Parts: sequence; structure tokens; C-alpha cells
Amino acid sequence: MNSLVLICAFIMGFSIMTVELLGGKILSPYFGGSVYVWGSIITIFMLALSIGYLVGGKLSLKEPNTRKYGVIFIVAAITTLPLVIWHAELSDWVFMQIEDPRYGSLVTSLILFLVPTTIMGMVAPYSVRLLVANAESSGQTAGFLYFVSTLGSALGTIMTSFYLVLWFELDNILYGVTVVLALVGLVAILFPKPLPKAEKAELSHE
Amino acid sequence: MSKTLSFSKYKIISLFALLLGSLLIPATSQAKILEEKRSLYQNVYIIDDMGLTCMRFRKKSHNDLSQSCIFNDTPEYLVFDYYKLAMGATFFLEDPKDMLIIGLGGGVLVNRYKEVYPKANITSIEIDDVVAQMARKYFNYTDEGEQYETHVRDGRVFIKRALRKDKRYDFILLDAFNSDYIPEHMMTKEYLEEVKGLLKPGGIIMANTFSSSALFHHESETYHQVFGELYQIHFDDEKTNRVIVVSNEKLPSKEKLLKKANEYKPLLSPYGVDTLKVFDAISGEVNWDTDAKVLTDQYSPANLLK
Repeated sequence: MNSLVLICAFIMGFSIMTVELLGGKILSPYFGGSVYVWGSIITIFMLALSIGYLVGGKLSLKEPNTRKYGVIFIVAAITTLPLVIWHAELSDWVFMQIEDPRYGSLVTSLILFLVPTTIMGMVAPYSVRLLVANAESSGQTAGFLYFVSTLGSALGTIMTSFYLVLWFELDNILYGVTVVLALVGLVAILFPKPLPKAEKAELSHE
Repeated sequence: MSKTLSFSKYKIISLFALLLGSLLIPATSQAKILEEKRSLYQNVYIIDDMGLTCMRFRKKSHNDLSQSCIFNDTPEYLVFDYYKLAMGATFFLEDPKDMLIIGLGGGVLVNRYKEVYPKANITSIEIDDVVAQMARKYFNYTDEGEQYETHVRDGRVFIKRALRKDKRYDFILLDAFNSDYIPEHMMTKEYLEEVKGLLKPGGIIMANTFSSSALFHHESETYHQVFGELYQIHFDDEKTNRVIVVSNEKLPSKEKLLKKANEYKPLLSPYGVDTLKVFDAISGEVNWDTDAKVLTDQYSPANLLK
């Protein structure tokens, strides 16, 4: 199995949860730390990921390769940047417009997180496409990929909430995420890996 | 915020009798849960125990887990040392017109402030609707009358809105923490700057906070950065609580405070407050590590530093 893709998926799983958890810290000065603020964040993340899965799956139909896969990471890093740079100004702007903290936090989450999280969501189905060798093992492959990426999410959650917020400032953690995503993307672009189908074809030739 | 019990002599004697009695009666019959209700944030328990009615967020009975307590027979008599420290606010205030309380809890302090300053407008903020309900039901809290308002919402959200509406206060009490959990967005430099912005010139902010753990240094330095000089009020025999007093102008001198402490002595003694003892507990000393990292909206792991 392509370990590059697995590592990439693990890092993406980690990054998604890091951003999601810090979302609470971004919004609480404006909308409080209540359950509806978390409700807003999780709603937008779930919505964005669902769209991302759809788009990522579609994208994987057209000549899938690890270069394009790397581009998704680069775009994810780029679309996360405005969130890091302007989250305070954007939250403040929404706070001015909407009095109800429920809808205020929902709209802010939408503005801040919808686009980057959608891009991040595209990675999962695209990874499946890059890993699957044949129809029979596709379920197992997809299962293993979910295992790896969700494990990344679990680690991202605990690391962020237990340690990263104690060691670093909020924006620095977010910058860290964008740098890591960009680096991962560059590696995927610079060191392309063939699809498993091609490997299989080579094997049958021998 | 945890609170340690403190009693006057006659309270101690009556407590002793109760304790003695309790040795003869099975332990389970001591504390009675009058009501329990799950809120959006916690389980709220009203407990009748040894002549006290207390609000707790945990079922297990430990004195230091009580959020609010009153004596059943003498509700005006303050139970916690922290309440007495907070009555020290009277030394700093000159006939305040507008008072803001962030963290109503059982409303014990608000009730006393209402009595001391009958003409003041008092706005109380409580995030937990169930806590506000219990304050009314068990702790004689009421906001009837045009002077009084209660808002159920996040303290910081209220403060940001109040700033936009150009509201200003003579006195702001910050009392939103309990011993289990600190709302981290309400212990940052940015938050304190917002609260400072709500003060009238020469207004006073009083905060009920922690006197132990690593957080003490971070928090003290955060106040120091925003306000410059600060007074701390802290009884030597008390471990967990202290009160911080700050202003947007120069704080009154000790001489002036002593004059006020003498003036308020007869008025506050029915509450069990020895104003001279409270005065002695006031310190302007820098007793924290000034190199401690300031808490900001960027760095606020208050619950991890606790």
C-alpha cells in the first residue's frame, strides 16, 4: 500500500481536528463558550466535510495521481490562511451584525471554516482512489484508510486540547497547520507515486 | 470558585452542637437534597445541610464544592470568607449608581449590595438559567423593581454588547469562575480590557479569583498588564480565595480605605463582616512572578494551568 498516501491522510485527519478544536477558542470571545457555539462549529465542519467528500470523489474520476493529490493539500493550506489572519476581524464583524450568539457563531463558522474544511474533506475519497487496487479489496482498503485518518483525528484532538494550547499561541498552531499541509502537498507533488493498478500490471508481467 | 467556611463564635458553637449530634445520627441523614436539576452546563443541587442552604454543582458533599450558601436562620449573615472580602468593595466606592455583576450564582452578594446601596442600579449576568432560577427560589434573590436586571447569557458576550451600547458602570464584580471549570475566554487580557472599557472614570473592578496554583501568577500578571497597580484582599488563614481590586484611575490610598473601613464597620457587622479585618487583608504588594506569561485570547489554557 502507498505509505505516502496513508501518511498524508493521517496528517489531514490530525489537521482537521486541530482547526475544529481551535474554532471554539476563536469564537468564544465573541459568542461565548456555550454548547451552541460548539454546535455551530461542528455543524459547519460536518457540512463542509460532506461537500468535500462529494467533490473529492468526483475529482478522483479524472486521471487521478499523487501530484493532483498534493495540490489539494496546497489549496487546503492556502484557504486556511485567511482564517488564521482575519478570524478576529471577521468574528467581530459578524458580532456587530447578528445579536443572537447562536446565529452569530453559525455564520462566523460558515465564513471561517466552510471553504478550508471542504478542501480538507476532499482528501479522504481521493486517498481511497489512490490506494484501491481492485474491487474485491476496495472495502478493506477504504476501511484501512479511514482507520489511519481517524486515528490522526484522534491524535489531533488530544494533542491540541491537552498540549498544543499550553505550548503555543492559537495563531501559531494554525500557522503550523498551514505549513505542515503545504509541506505535505509539496512532497506529494515532487515525489509522485504510481497508482496501485500500474503496480499490479507490472507484477503480472513478470 | 471554592469557598472555605468561616463562622463567628456563636456559629461555631452551634455548629459544634450540630456536629456532635451528627455523630449520633447516621451520616446519610445529615444533608438533604432539596432540589436537583440538570442545566445546559451542569447539575445544580440545592442542599440543606447543618443549618445551611447551599447550591452545589456536585452531589458529593464537600464544603469547598459549594457555590453559594446561606444560613437558614440568619440569611443576611455571610457564610464564606470570600463574601466578606467582596464586601470590601464598600471601601472603594462612593455612592455607586450603576453596578454590574458577572456571575450571579445564588445572588447572595447582590442581595447584600442592594441593601448597602439601595439607590444603585444593579445588573446581574448569569450564564446558567437554572442557577438564576435557584437564586430566586432558595436564596431570596429578586430583580423586581426598575433598578434591577438579570440577564441569562455569557458574561463576555454581555460585556462586548454593553460596550457597543456605551453602557458604563461605577462597579463591576467579576465572579464567573467555579472550582471545577474556568471559562477561559473570561480570564484574558482582551477580556479585561473590555471590562475596563465599561468603567466610568474612577470606577472599580473587583474579581473573585484564585490564590493558589500556577494560574495565580499568570492571572495576577494579566491584571497587572491591563491595570497597572492592583490591590489583593486575602485572609492569611484562607487557602483558595482572593479578591483583586483594580481601577481605570489611581486606586484610593490605604489611609482613605481605612477611613471607609471604620465608617462601614457598624453597617456591615450584621453581615458578619469585620471591616477592620478585611482592611488588614488588603495588600498592594507584588507577590506574584511578574515573568509569568500573560493570558490572552491567543494563549488562555487557564484550566490546564490550574
